[in-house]
Amino acid sequence: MDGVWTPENLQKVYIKGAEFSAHIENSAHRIRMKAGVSYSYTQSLNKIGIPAGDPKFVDKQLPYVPLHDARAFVVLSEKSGWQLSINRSYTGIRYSDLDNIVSPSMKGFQLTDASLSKKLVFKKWSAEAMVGVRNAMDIYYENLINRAMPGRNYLISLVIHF
Amino acid sequence: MKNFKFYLVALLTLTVFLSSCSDDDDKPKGEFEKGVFVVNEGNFGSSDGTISHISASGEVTTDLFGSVNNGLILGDVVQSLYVENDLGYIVVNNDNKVEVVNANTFEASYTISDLKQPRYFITYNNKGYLTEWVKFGDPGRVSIVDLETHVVTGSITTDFGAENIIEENGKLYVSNTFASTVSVIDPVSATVVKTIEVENRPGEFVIDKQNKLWVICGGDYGENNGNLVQIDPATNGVIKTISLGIDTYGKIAINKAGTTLYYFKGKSVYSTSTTATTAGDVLFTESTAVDFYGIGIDPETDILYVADTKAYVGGGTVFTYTTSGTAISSYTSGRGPSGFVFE
Repeated sequence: MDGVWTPENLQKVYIKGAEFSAHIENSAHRIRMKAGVSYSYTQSLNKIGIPAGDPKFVDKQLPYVPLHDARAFVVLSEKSGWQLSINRSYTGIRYSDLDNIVSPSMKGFQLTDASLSKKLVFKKWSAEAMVGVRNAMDIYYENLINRAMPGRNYLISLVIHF
Repeated sequence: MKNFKFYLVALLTLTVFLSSCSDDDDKPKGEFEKGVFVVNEGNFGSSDGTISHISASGEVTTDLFGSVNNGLILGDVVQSLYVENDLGYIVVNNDNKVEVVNANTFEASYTISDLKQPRYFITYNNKGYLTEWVKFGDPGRVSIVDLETHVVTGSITTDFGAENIIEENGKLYVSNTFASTVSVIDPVSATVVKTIEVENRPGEFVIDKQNKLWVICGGDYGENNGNLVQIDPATNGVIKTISLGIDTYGKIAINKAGTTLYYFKGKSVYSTSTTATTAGDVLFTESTAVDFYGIGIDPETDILYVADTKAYVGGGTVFTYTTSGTAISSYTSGRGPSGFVFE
């Protein structure tokens, strides 16, 4: 009830990590393919106890920092202007507190987005029509603890250049 | 051949994309008949408030509600728990509801919703009484809940910040934390029959050996103006006021004999005799704590429980002591432990 709060930064955090990314491009017949993957490993550990000397929260991953994070994409383009692209991402488990226990936490999730587009070129103007689906596998996931994100959702766009 | 390789790579890539995996949940842990319930507020806005349990043998069960009810969350800021007739009434402040559970199994029973900043709940004569702050700038109220139909049938306006509620001598006493008053309610006529002036920020009540009522007035932050106020339920007059020389969270416990009052500031617990006229001293300081937020004494074992929030960075710690201040043990709790309910 005596709610006087002061935010306090953690006094000491060790961060180490590694990142990797690669992509390939290739083409055959009328189709051109580009695909790639990236991955990052980020360890952010609290080093000072709360209170100092208490080991409970020491060497625990900071809240909301996923240890593993990976992305992958493939884009297939066809000469007449068709393009199919698929993106897949993986976000590892993220903790909402310094306990680092599995519950409550934001579980790791894999998202799949896909889109199909077509470029149309006319004499005086051009256009690009696109239909897409996000969270195509309709998985349940949370970006903030206990806040559900949308399930499968669709996207239609038409861009006209003139 | 080159084309074949190309399509193979493309196919493999797609296979990786479209594979999926799932995680397993924690398993439920059974029944919770004996021991102490710990109310864990959770972190404001994170909807991670829980009720945890410490069994008579010291075994800790986290998040009773979630583990029994298939991972359901209780909600945002679990304010208080009241157990009566095998039912547990869990007041969830920032979700404006009371979640009612079977107190032995913690299976969800029903929900009282559309409340306004609910704080504490009691039952008396087969009716539920719930304090609500309503909203800032408006006086608080006590809502009357029909325990058969599970709906609010009426309300009694008290004063600003209707907080704790207790029944004594057939009357309901409500501390109005922003108004420095205690409202006395006659539950038969459902009206406020008297408003008692107390000190700044009245909070929790206890009843002593002589059946006198005590309310702790936490005072204002940094002002060291907390007080203990003793009220005579026979006359509804103030018997005495003890200046504490500190400000507190407005939480209080009384020993089994009903003779000594316990409260806290920071990581120190203080005690004052009910017969004293001046405030007692620090009973103990727990050096491994960060900030106490709740206190309770088991009326059967006389063991003192005090809750440390660990600054809300994760689960808290519950320390147990004898009422003379000797450390017994410690247990983990959920996030933001703020109160205890003994069975």
